[in-house]
Amino acid sequence: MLIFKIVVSICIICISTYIGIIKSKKLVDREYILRDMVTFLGLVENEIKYMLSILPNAYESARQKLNSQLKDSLGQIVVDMLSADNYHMANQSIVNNIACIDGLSDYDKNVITSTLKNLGRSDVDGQLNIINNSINILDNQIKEANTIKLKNSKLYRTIGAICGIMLVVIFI
Amino acid sequence: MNIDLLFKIAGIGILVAVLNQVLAKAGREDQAMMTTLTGLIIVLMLVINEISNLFETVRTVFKL
Repeated sequence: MLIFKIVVSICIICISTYIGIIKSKKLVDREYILRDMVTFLGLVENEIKYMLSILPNAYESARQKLNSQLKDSLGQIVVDMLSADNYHMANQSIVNNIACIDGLSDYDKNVITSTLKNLGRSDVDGQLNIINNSINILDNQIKEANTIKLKNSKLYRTIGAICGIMLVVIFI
Repeated sequence: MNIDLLFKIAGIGILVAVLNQVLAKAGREDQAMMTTLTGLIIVLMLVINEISNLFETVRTVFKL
């Protein structure tokens, strides 16, 4: 009976600590994905400016350098852009695929979605301006994500562990 | 009275104090206060049976 209690206690503590770690990891992921997006936009800018590539080719070439969830979402967007009959279908694909990315706030998703949509309806100079503006906005978001990460990631891990211990003390 | 109850109350007290400090240092004073109140309510709930027994005993002893 004692061994059972010990095992259950350890399980409860491990699960609640794991939940705290998952929550803390989301904060880290947000900053990582935003940095990846800035990298992506920089690479797309180079593709558009120097290689004069069309958007799907520029996206495909740029997304190969990415490491986060963004790579798969952008891959699906490229496939949908190439197979779409019209602009609205491509837009819908952008909205759906960016909404699937975990870890980003609604504002981040709106910025990325509107950037990708607007790139499709501008000329080369317009596209370069849109990319520069978006990079500036995302840089501010990265600073905010970094501040929140530094402030809260350790807090969530600690709270996870302490809540687990408290549950064990109260119920076992 | 079971001695385990005292250890539980002590354990909850220590953990609430630690959580209070962690939240206060993170700038979340209102959440720290909520945590303290929650800990107090949990301890009161643990102790309420003993308080009820106490009143029963007092009533029996003094034939009230």
